Amino acid sequence: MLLRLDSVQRHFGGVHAVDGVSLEVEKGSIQGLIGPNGAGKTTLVNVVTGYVPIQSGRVWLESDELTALPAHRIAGHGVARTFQNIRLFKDLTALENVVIGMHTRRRDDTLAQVATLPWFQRGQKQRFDEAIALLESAGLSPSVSDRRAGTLPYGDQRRLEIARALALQPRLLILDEPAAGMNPSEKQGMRELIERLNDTGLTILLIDHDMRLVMGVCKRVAVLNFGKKIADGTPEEVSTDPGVIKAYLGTGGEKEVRSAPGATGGTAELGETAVGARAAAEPEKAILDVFELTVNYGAVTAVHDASFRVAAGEVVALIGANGAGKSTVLNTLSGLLRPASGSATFDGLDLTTARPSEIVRHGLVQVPEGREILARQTVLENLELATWGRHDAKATARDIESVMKRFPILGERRHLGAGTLSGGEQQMLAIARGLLARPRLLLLDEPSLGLAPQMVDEVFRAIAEIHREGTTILLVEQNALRALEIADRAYVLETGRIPLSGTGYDLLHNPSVRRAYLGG
Amino acid sequence: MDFFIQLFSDPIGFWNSHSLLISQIGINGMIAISMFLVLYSGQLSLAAPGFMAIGAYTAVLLELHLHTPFALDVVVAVALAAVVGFLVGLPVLRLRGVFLAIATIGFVEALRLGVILNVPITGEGLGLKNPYADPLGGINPILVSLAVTVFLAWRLTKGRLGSAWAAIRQDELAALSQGIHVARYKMVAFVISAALAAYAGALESHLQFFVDPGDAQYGVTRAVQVLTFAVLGGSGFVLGPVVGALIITLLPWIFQSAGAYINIVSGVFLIAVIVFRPQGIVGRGGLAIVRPAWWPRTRAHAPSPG
Repeated sequence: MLLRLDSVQRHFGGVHAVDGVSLEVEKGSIQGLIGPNGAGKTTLVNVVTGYVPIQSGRVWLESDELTALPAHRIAGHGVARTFQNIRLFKDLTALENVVIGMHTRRRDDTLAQVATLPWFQRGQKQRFDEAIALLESAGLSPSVSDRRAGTLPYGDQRRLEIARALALQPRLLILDEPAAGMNPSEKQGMRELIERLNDTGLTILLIDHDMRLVMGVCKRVAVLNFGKKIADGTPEEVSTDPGVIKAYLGTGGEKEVRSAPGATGGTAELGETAVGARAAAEPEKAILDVFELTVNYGAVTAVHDASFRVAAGEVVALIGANGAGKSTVLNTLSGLLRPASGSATFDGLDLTTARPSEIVRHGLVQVPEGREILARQTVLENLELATWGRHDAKATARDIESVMKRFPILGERRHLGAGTLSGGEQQMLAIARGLLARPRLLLLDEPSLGLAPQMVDEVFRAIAEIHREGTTILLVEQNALRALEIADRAYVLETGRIPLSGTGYDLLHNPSVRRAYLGG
Repeated sequence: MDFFIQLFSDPIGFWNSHSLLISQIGINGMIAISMFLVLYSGQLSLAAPGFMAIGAYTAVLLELHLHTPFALDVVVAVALAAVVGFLVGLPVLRLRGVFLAIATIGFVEALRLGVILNVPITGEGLGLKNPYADPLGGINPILVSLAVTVFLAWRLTKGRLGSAWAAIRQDELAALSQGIHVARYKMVAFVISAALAAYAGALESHLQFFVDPGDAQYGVTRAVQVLTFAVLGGSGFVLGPVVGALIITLLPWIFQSAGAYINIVSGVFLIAVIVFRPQGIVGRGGLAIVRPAWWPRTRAHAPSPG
């Protein structure tokens, strides 16, 4: 056994984040660790790596006891990790990031470098060569080595974080949701990378939401729920365990299995989805009219001649893989970005010149990707801030009450810090905040990002309800299947262009949608 | 304008007639590097004037009472500041960002108001007369010291220690995961910075016949000035704060012709630099002039994937 946990405990106040978990990771294996949102997976990783002090229990790495060591010593013992929300040294180059990873096995060369001795230069050259090799083994091209880490595309940042962890020459590599927010083809690439690393003899502890990834790549899988380990075994054993199915997929599990995030699904499977016939053609009279919109970031064209329309009362989805330009479109509509050419009008207002505040007052409200709630303020304060600028105190209070009724969990937790909410609850809060601005058109940017399947269901249920009550919605989603289920019409965005559009029902059955996603 | 006319038409005469000014630039340059070292390791410490005071008073008092050679005074002053820096750092370096700044200001003010203005040996606020001072002889050792300090600081940022500092500045938690002993490396930067500030303080005290315990010398005003060196010049590269120190020290001469309005003109100049070069005069991207973010219809900001 490489890693051994013996009834590890960690409470936060009254919350049993990790409650007596014992776990063994065999040397040379890939061990999976799964569980619904808030099951304590990340807390367990933080306890093992020394980021959160352990309260009781013990941790061994072979014969070395890691219990209660500080984080840097644990890393020194050869436990490398990545972070759920990517923590690169953003302003340093990719190469510098990897070189910093070599810290623990690098002789202290302070005096040599101060005296400018040649062996420092030789060592530096060696480190750079090794860092480039590590970048390559993590699947990055050497050409990224001089780019600042923060400017790399999302998938490359994930890979760079792995390259940095490999620079430690770890005995155990802990990957915390390495495939979060990736599209199916990127996930496949990540899966191949994990398998390739394991082939070199590296032991990997893999935490992820995505059942397909974990089940496909791991030899053994442990399942956490409410801080307790509820199952441990081969993927087959775990996936048929009734307790796991209930914990992970919620009730009515079959539906969620079919539409879990990242599920690509064949058309035959999709055929069973009952979606009524809906209006197909582009509307004559649109509340939002976007025509040949082009947006650049410096020399890079992110959105290229995109045209689409949204009529009052519709749900329109904008789907596409990571980096397709979806958020760029929304940010342009909200006035945060300015297009290079093209037009965008919302109910008579020219969105390409209006100030963001004017756009919001006109009724076009964006719920940003990543939720962007104020973590240190309470739920109520977050909601109250959303009504800032409104002067009708009574109506405001009534609106706040009504969104709390819509999302009862927010009402229950109104006096808790928003940062203590789970990801799904934070998404609810972000949507509620958007509603308080009394939108006529609500832009939702990736509402299902990083949520467990059960929470995704709830979020989409809430979106459908808001729509039923008369709000027009423009929905940007990477999780195409879910978005298409509730959308009247949809546009597929692929590397900044819109090659495809149609009713949600049509696109659900269109094989080119899959192609747009998988890039094949 | 006389200042610049003389600088370009008669450099030797300028050198001879402005040696005190040039020495002061050298001193401020070293203090700027002391600031650079803490900022480079991600610590917003404003303790430099406190350590300068330790350096200055230690050196002058040894000279006055024990008549030791000045070189020895400086060595003792630097060693004492390093020890004090370590002791102050133990509790204070647990803090981050603006909290660290406030705690270090507390140290500076406690030292000045509590010790220097209260103890008979430091003159109880009346200052100290130092007949051994050498205002004109300091220029060469100071400029050599500055050059050496710039070189050493530059080299320090290149190696294992510098990598660790950069990592800590960028993200302490991620640095921990790379096996970097964050607390130790922050302490190393803090102590080196303290020693360097004391060295500069000791040399500075030798330029004047009178050690002035005023706020502008060893108090918050000086701390803010030192921070301005780094912000104006840019703290990503060693030369940034030095350039900042050079410009700030020269401001009264550069804007001499503004007469009574000099403070206003200098202030407008500083604001303009911050608006047009938020990363400092020396920063990544060279010396190009960039348009500020609020300039109408500029390049897109807030890039976001997806």
